[in-house]
Amino acid sequence: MNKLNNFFLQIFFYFLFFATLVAVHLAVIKALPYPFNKINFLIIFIIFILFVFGKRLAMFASLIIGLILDFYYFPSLGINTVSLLLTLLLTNFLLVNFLTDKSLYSFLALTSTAYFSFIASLHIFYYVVSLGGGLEANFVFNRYFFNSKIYGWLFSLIIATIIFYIFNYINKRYKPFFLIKGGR
Amino acid sequence: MINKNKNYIWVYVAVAGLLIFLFLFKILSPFEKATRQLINPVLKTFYSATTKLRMKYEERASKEDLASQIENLIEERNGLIEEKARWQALEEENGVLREQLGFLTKKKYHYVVSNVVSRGDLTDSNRISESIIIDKGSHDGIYNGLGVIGGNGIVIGKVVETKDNIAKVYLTNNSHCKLAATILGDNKTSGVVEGELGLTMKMGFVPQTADIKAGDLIVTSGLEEGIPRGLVIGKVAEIKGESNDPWRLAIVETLIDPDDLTIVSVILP
Repeated sequence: MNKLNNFFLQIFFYFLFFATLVAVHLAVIKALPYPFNKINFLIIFIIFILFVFGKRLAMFASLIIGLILDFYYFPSLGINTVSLLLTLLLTNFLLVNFLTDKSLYSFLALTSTAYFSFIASLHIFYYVVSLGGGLEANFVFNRYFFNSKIYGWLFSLIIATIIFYIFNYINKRYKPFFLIKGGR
Repeated sequence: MINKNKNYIWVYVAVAGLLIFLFLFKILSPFEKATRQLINPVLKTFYSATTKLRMKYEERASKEDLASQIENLIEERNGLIEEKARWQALEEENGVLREQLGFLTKKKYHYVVSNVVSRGDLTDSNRISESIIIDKGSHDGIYNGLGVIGGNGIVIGKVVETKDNIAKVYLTNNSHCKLAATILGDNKTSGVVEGELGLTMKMGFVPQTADIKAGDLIVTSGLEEGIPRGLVIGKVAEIKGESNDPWRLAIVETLIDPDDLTIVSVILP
C-alpha cells in the first residue's frame, strides 16, 4: 500500500514538474521577442531526459508534456503528443544505434534531429487534419518560415549547450562515457 | 534486441492511437478542463511578468529615438487639437439630433475581460504574433466570430476557436482574420480588412472614387454579426493602385502592438 502511495505521489510530482515546464514554454518563452520565442525549450528538455535518465522517463515526459500542450492548442487531436512520441522514437533509435558516447556533440546532434523531426511531424499532422476540413492550415513556406525555424534551431542549440555544461558541472552522471552496445 | 525495439514501437503506436481516440471522442475533456484550471493562473502570472519585463527592456532600448518621436508627436497633437474641436462641434449637433429623434444614448457593449495566457500558433513562423490564447472560453459565453478589443477600444482580432475555459483569437494581421470595415466619416466606402502575411493589414476593393488617404482611420462597419460598428481597426498607411485600375488597395497599420497585450475584452452581442 505504501509502495502504491509512493508511486502515485511520484507520478503526481512528475506531473506538476512537467506542467510547470509547459507553463514556462507557453507563457515565458512565447512572450519573448522574436527570435527568442522560437526556442523549443520542451524538445531540449525531453532529449535531455532521454540522454541522462533513459527512454522510459523520456516517454512519460513527452506524454505528459504533449498532453498539456494539446490542452492549450487547437485542434485537440493529440497532434503535439503524437509528434513528441514520434520524435522520441526517432532520437532514441539514433542514440542506441549510431551514437557511441554521451558528449556535447551527441547531445547537440540529438537536439537538432529532435527539433527538425518535431517540426516536420507537427506540420504534416496539421496539414493532414486541415485536409479533413474544419481547420485552416496557417502556414506558408516562405522565407519567414525558414528563417524562424533556423533561428529557433540555433537558439535551441545554445540553450542545450548551457544546460549540458550546467549539468556536467553539478553532476558526474553526465560525464562522457561509451554506450554499451545493445544496452538501454 | 530487434524484438525488444519492435515491442517498443508497438507501445508507441498503441499510445498514439489511444490518444487520438480519447481526444476525438472528448473522453479527456474533464481532465483537460481541470488541468487548464490548475495551470491558467500560473500562465497568466508568467505571461504578464514576461511581457512587462520585455516592454521595460524595449522602452530602455528605444530611448535614443525619443527626441524624434517627441517631435512627431507634437506635430500629431496639433493636428488632433484641431480635429477634436471639429468633432466636438459635431458631437454637440449629434446629441441635439438624437434627443429630438428620441434615440437611446450611446450603446453600451457587454464584454468579457480576459487575460492573455500565451501567443503564437502551433505553426506560427512570423516575426509578429498572429494569434493569442485567452483564459476565457465557451463557459463564459464566448463563441467563434466575436470581436476582441485591446486597450482604448481598438480591435485586435476575432475569436476563431473555443474550449471550455480558453479561446483562440486570430489577430488582425493574420491572413485568416477578415473584418467588415469602413473608412471613418465615409459611410459609402466599405470593404474587408484582412491580414497580409502576418505583417500588416490590407483593405481591398476600395473604389477609385472613394475619398481615402494615408492617415484615415479604418473602423468596423457593423455588417458582421457579433462585431459592432465604429470600433477602430487601424490607420491607412499607404494607398496602392494606378489611376486606371477599377479598385485600389489600402495598406492599414494597427495602432496597437499585439505583442504588448496582457488583458483583452471580448465583445458580446
